[in-house]
Amino acid sequence: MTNSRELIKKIISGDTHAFKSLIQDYQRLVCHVIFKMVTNEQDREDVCQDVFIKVYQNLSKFQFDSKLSTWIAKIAFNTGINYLKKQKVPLFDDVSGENGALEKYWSEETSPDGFTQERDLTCRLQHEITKLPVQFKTILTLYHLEEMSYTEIAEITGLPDGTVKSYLFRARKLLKEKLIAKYQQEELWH
Amino acid sequence: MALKHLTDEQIQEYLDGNVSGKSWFAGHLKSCGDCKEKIDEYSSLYSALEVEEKIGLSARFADVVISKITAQASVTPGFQIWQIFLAVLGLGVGLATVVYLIGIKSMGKLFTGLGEFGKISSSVLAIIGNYFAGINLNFGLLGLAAFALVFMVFLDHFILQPKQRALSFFR
Ligand SMILES: [Zn+2]
Repeated sequence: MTNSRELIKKIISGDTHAFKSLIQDYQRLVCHVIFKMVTNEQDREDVCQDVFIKVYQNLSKFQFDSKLSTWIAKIAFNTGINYLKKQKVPLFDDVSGENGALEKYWSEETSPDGFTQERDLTCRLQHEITKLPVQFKTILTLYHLEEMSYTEIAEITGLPDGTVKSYLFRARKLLKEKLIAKYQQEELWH
Repeated sequence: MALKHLTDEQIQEYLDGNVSGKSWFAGHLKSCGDCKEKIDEYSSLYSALEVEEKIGLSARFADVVISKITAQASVTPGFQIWQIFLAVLGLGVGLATVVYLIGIKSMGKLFTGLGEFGKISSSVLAIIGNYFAGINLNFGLLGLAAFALVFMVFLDHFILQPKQRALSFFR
């Protein structure tokens, strides 16, 4: 915390080296959030750039009410959502729905593609994750890769803590079922 | 007593490390193959979820971001055409209001004492005054002037001043 305070002070006073080191410290986090939301490879880097420009522009407003990582991830999430809205990507906004709603949202392609031929579990999983609504993808990433708490994820996504937990559990259950169904078809599970 | 199987939620809580101490979990898992299998499936899923995808940005990413910010900061606060239009409109309305209120003739007298410059000024003023007199000024114009003034204050407070503040941040 003290380190980030000093870093922020330096950045505000115009130290570009300090800002460069902030980018290096948090680009993995920003990538985790943005890469799950933005599928177009060419747009990904641009959106990540926008995130850091916004971070720079708003840094003087950061009051240390939360961790710097939470604050940056929140900017990244909102930038990603704005990008998706511009691209007219439908967002899952059913907060109370049960698995049925998530199942309905699930997009099952009819044509086989490269990934479904892939037998490696991780590759399969990544492919199945792409079909999840964006909030679910973000929650899975922040929880499993960034090891964030429900409260931190709630702050980033603007969802209540309980919803974060429920989405996480529903996403994992659905992923497990989808993967098992696929592997059972090919008798590959275990 | 019939054994109750673990629910998906309980298994996830368990793997998340939210089930503390010696629970009935361990005992049940020893004796129940179905639940053991389910735990293994979830464990595989958890491991796969923790595998870092190859994510990368270009090597010059940070430099590009910084150069974009510097480029934005070096742009002087430019004015849009609509801002210039509003400024000219505001000035025009303001001048017309002054001319209307003071009266063109007393205004002309004011300038005659100033020699050549005064003569030119008063004739320019006369032209403007005649023009506005021709379009039959009334109190509606006063209202418009007041509106323009309020609008410009609003414009300055909410757009130009924040813009200046934002730009000064980069310096
Ligand atoms: Zn059981």
